[in-house]
Amino acid sequence: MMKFTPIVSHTIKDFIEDKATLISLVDGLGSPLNVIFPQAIKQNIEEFLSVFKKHFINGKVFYAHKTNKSNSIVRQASFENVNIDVASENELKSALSNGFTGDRIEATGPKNKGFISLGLQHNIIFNVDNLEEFNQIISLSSHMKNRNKVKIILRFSGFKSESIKVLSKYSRFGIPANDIDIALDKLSEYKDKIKFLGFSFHLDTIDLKEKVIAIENCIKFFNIARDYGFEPHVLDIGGGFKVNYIENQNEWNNSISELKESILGYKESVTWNNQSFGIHNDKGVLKGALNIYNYYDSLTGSKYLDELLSTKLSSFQNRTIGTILSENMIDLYIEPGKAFVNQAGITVSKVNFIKQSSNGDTLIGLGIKRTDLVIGDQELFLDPVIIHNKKDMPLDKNKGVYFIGNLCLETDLIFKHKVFIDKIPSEGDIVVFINTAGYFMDFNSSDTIKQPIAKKVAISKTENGFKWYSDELYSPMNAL
Amino acid sequence: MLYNNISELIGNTPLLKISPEVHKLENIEIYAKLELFNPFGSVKDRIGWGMIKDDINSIKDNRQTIIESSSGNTAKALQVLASSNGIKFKTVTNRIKVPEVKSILQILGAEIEELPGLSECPDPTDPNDPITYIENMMSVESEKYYHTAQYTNMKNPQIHYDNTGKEIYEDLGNIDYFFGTLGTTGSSRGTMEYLLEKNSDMKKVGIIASKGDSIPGIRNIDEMYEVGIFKKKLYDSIITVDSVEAVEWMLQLIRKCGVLGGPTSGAVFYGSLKYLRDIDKTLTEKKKAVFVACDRVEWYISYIQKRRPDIFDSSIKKDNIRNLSMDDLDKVIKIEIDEAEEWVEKNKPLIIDLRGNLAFKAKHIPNSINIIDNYFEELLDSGIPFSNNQTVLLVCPVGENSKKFAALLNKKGFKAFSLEGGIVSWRDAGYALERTILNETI
Repeated sequence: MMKFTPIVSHTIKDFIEDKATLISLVDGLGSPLNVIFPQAIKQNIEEFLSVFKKHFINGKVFYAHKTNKSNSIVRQASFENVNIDVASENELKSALSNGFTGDRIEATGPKNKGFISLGLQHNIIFNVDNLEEFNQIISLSSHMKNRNKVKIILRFSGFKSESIKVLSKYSRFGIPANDIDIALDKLSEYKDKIKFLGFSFHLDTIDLKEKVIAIENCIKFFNIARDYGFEPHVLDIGGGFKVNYIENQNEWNNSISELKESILGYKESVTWNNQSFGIHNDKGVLKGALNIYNYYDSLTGSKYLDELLSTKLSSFQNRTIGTILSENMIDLYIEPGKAFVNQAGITVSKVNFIKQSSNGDTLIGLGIKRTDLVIGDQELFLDPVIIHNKKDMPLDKNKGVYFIGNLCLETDLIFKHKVFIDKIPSEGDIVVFINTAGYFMDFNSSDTIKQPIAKKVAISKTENGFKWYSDELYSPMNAL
Repeated sequence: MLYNNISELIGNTPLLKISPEVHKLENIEIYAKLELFNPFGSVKDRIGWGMIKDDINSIKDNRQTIIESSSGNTAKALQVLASSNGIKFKTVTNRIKVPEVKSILQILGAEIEELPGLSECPDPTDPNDPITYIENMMSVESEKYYHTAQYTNMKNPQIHYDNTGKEIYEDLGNIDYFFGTLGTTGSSRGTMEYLLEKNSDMKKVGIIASKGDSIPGIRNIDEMYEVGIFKKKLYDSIITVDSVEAVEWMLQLIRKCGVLGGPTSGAVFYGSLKYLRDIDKTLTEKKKAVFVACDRVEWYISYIQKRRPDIFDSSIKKDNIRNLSMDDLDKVIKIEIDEAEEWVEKNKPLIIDLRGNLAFKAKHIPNSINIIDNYFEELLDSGIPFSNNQTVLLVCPVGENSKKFAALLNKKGFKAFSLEGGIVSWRDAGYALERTILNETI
């Protein structure tokens, strides 16, 4: 029987057990509902800063705003010792209106004219994706008669290892690493107009080795840039620090084994219409790779950063990356997303109905759709917490149910795998999805067929219990 | 003994009786098939040769490259056999977990391609596994490659049926218990089948790694499903071993039996005992058990270091930077950054910058010299290249390391000082810094 028991922070556990506030919020604001716990980011930030300290590194944490559209998280962050990474004009406006000043903002991702010009007006850092974008920035800056030197970080991709061929996926982002001289030649033409801070990359991988190679390449770039007369001092390694969602490693391992055995046909199917997540049964042999996020992971967040900084580079006298950055006086910028909002949000839905499928499976109809919970086509392997309000029916714990969404669409299942619960809820009960603030709750949400987009509320824990605010009105200063 | 070709040394490995004082069983004799005695150090030498020997001339004539998905012993064997026959070899892998294994492969001259790691946002349609990657490469240029396909190649179990199984039988006769580690499963399956024909009552036990842990060359139960030649029903029992147990019993084998086997050998030895201990008590007659010691310990140093750091803790030397007392550290005179430039001007110290070469080259205090901290530590043990009437100022990134070295030097009777706040404070104070500019000659 597959089980994916989520880690739930004490605050969230208390809030759910409190029931009354949650029920009245869903009754009053509708299903689905996103509940944000902005104060949770404090600990996540603290953990990253302590790793910087351990390695004697001057570092800055940039919250990757794209992780979540919430106002309250940005507002809370603006009062903490962090900066923000914005990827669109509206994210930049959100950062500014929530209290971030230009010197704490960095723009990443694809940029249009509106985004660039507003950024120039606030003298934010531009993490430049390509040289065409650099030209646009310079040209807009001179049209605007900008008197500030434009702060530039260059983003690279396509790094090569000297010792071994490590394949990386092709990236749509960044300047090819081979073009370092072309890029620096270009920058040299505008030396008086820019302040060149340093280099960046963001690799779409959770693999340490690829990141180590990129860092190794970038450290060499610092030396090349000095030959061009620049004094770069920033290395921006992007995000991808991961989060651990699952309490128990064995439970995760056993459940994934069951999933594979079911796909191989050794056990009864546990996926809707035998969905197989990238693997298939080829004459009894399992082929392909199970392309799911590792919801259990023992090396995440600040621990992952620590491991990265503790990696020794053979091409630099076997010194650790942390030591190399520290002794070269290179400031480290990181852009955590998921890890920044770990345990900072839950998504709540009401149960609308219970029914049987054409082959006898129990289906639980919710007031939420798949896109309100998942990014892209990823499968969420996290069991929801059910608050039984009304009468419930016992269920054989080996049977399992499917949770289906509120769209009039065959594929709108919340999970494409069975969830094994021991009590069937009834109409009006509440289903809570845990730890959804990082890319899950609103990255893909839409009001398709006029089903509502979830409203957001921010919760703060006070001495007198939980207090809630609309997401727009939350501020850590409210409590004063 | 005279040989004409290295491939002749493959196989016919020794069978060693493990002393009962080590395994403590009363009724069962345990024997280790020492596959680490193969010329390239592992059981995989047999299949490396076995999978290519029939076709070696045509591979050579057609100038094909041998390709395999291996992150260890098979790659080692294939690489040596290929290169000594003038053939190219390439291994595609999903990550080599132990750095020494990679180093050995590089020494042997292997071309290694490592596939990308899992994406932070996995794409369900991405076929990110080495076998698919190899198949795609081969469908583009099928003429160019010879894919040995160890996971599905039926020559793999056949070789062990023909040789390993037979060798054991010739040395020992009927076997009652056979233990093999499950990787490709070829070696245990082939060997077992031969022995089973001789004694159909033989118990067959497969050893696998516990999930979430790794033992080189052994798969966990999930990974077994990805292996074409694995048949769960072939085994009477499957025993799970974790890496700490594997390393512990590897040490027993090395230290008590003189078998320099790697973690896999330890895993199968421990797995055998786990299975046999209870059975042993119920027996009234003598029985024989055999396990396969797959490869050698030398290329797993960092793997062992990670799991058993205690082995490597050398006895603490009298004085070093890790055993200084708070008192030693407190006694160090730190040169405050406000007065630092003036202090340097006045005392003309020997300024030693403890940072790495690249950092020193980029920026350093004028007239300082660069001795990297770990070299400096060695120098302090062997002989210090300046006299003790020389005033020394130590510089590091933030003043942490320099304080420790100053304390140690002072204990030895030197006049050493530490720059408070390190090079970062020196830079922030706006004092002079230099860059090394070399004439780049050929």
